[in-house]
Amino acid sequence: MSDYGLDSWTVNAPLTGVCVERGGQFAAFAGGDGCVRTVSLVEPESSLSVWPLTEGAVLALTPDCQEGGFLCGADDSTLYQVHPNDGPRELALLTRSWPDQLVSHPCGLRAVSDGPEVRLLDAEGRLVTVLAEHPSTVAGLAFDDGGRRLAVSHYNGVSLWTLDRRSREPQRLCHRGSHLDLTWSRNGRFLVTATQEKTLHVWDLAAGQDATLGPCINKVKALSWSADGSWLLASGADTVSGWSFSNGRLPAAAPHMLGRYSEHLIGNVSANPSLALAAAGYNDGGLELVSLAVQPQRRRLVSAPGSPIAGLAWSPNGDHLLGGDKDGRLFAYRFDTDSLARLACTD
Amino acid sequence: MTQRVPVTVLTGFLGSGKTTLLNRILTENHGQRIAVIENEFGEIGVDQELVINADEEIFEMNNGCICCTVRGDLIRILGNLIKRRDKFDRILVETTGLADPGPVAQTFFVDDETRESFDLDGVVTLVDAKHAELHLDTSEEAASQIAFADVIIINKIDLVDTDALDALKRRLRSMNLMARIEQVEMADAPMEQVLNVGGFDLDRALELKPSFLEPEYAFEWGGVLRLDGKAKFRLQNGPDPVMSAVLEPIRAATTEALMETAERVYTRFSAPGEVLQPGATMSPGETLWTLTLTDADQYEYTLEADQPGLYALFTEHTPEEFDAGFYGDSGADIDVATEHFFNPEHTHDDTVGSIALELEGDIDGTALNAWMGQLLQTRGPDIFRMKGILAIAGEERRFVFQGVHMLFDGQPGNAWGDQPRASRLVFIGRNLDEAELAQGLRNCRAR
Repeated sequence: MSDYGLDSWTVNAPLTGVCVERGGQFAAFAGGDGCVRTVSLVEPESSLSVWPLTEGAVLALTPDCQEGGFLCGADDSTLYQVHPNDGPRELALLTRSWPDQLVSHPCGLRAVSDGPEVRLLDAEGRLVTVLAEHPSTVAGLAFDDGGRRLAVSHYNGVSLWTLDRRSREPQRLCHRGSHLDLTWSRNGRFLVTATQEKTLHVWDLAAGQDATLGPCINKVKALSWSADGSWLLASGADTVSGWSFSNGRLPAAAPHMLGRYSEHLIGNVSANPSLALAAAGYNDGGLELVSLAVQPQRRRLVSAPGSPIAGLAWSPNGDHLLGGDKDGRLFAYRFDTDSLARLACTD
Repeated sequence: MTQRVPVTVLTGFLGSGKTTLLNRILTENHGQRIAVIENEFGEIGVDQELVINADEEIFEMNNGCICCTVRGDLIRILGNLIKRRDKFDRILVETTGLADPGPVAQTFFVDDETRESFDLDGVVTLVDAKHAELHLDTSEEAASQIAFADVIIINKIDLVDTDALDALKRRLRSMNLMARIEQVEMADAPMEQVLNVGGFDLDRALELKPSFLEPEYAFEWGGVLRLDGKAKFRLQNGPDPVMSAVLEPIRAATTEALMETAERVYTRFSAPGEVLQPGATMSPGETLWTLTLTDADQYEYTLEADQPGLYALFTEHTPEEFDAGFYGDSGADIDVATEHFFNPEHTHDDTVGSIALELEGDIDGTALNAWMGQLLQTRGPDIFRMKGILAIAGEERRFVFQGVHMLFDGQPGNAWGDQPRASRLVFIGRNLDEAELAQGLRNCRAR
């Protein structure tokens, strides 16, 4: 597959986050030098715009609730909004901890962690409410698809807040251990956390059941749902680990190993949002595309070895793949949709 | 691999001067970029580049071991610090006075990413000379802070006399054979005593100090007396209604001669003693004497030697504990020419202690694995720390390992070469049974 375009940049800072805003026009890279760098995905040969936020590091980056913007949390305890044309604006200064967990929903909500609390902000940046007090520092945040429920992970489980009810008490989903990153299934039925103990934990909210998945070789740092919602993909092993949710029940604990085994572990995985394939980033800097739909699964090496891939993100329509590594090599692939589709569906 | 950032854990009882020490370290002109992770009650008032407040959030791992507790907040904070382009030269983690250092230490064994980027350099425990004994008597956390230490700094030594300081040092030493003990006045410990400890460095795991293999004596005190005929040994009531003692000729009134003689007589303390009533006579020789010290206010025993000369008396407790003294026939005091305090095993009934084992020759790797596995499963919560150098049969290099509770880590070290092959282990923990551990190690001897 040679029919793709590649832009790449080298910056003197490890990548700490990457994403594409909801409109699909701009991508942003967060850096360990306290800067956010934005680039247009639609204008040809566009260059990086550099937006310095802090002296330390940008810890978290996510698309903002409205098209065209990004949310960033930095280790100066400040939550920023960054617009590719206008630059950064301070949204909130936290008092208890670093804003290292951020999430937004297109209905106009933003959630940011502040130690054991979660602050909810509206689209104008006004504080809607503070969700307190979780059993430990918040380690993961996720809105369900409708934006009605916010799941918050922490020690010994997840707190599930139903936002429109203005309920003061969340539903508690309990399981011992430290729960970190978390994600909802597309239909809002399953909630999955990555744990400190190299496993995943899944709750079936409709059936009132839960189960532990894994273990993986490494702690899972990236969770991603396939385009049709039938696979949950995870990093942490020497192939892409996948659990099938296609029959609507809790999956078996042992993952399917998708793609070929490698000498190196996968640190990042991101499913394409429209096709049955995923991008996998290895700890040796290798990058490949893995088909999820055909047997045997295909893979293509897209990148030569270097330092560990630190982040991967697809544009909403699935034709751009953005990422970077711990040495500050940033890349933006622009794929031809037809050849991507051929990789996903044919031998 | 890139250079790992060293992490020093600073722990200490309330009021031991931790904050003063921390401030001294930070204000000293050392040219290092230091980030401080401080507990929520900390009161650092210095202009420090980065002071991070941590809530000491501990969680239990789901692996079924109750001792497997980890500081998740530390994983998160360190994970965020390593994202910076401009790295720190060192991280200092301060714990609250009541904290058990176990979870902090275990964090570095449990989380792969943390240990990839950070190197737990050592645990430094600060104690206050005046109140340490009280803290140790009343607090389990205080005992575990001593047990986990690589360096113990006794602060405020100007507030106690020499005897009290010696007693404290002996007690600390008996609890933790591995730690280096330093004494300071106003928390003025030089930076090099606190940083670059290398306590968790496998290469430096067993740079054994001389005290390391000093046997645990069953007597606390030995003194040299010049005897010419009879002498009186007069005692008051003390902490024990009986006390064992041995009298033995000695070649000179020196510490060196006293240590030699101690080596010769210490096995006698494990045999049954001959019980003496007050007024009876102890003579030099093979006998272990058991002095009765009950039902009166004062007791007097006679020391009698056929030949005039120097004699060493070894006693289970120190004479000070019984307000004891030595007198000649005329009633005049007899001076103790030289004395030595031996590591007391039982003065304070500390349940925390350390045990050093040595086994000459080779051990069988498979047997060792089985023993360690079983030991850590059953005694993991009681074993705070362990370190060892092992001579494994068929392996040319030393095997070096160390652990915290159930977690451990090991790797091959230097080759034995011409050095005699022997395995050495140290355990620090609670209610450790030396006989059981020694037997367990002997069972691993290669055939």
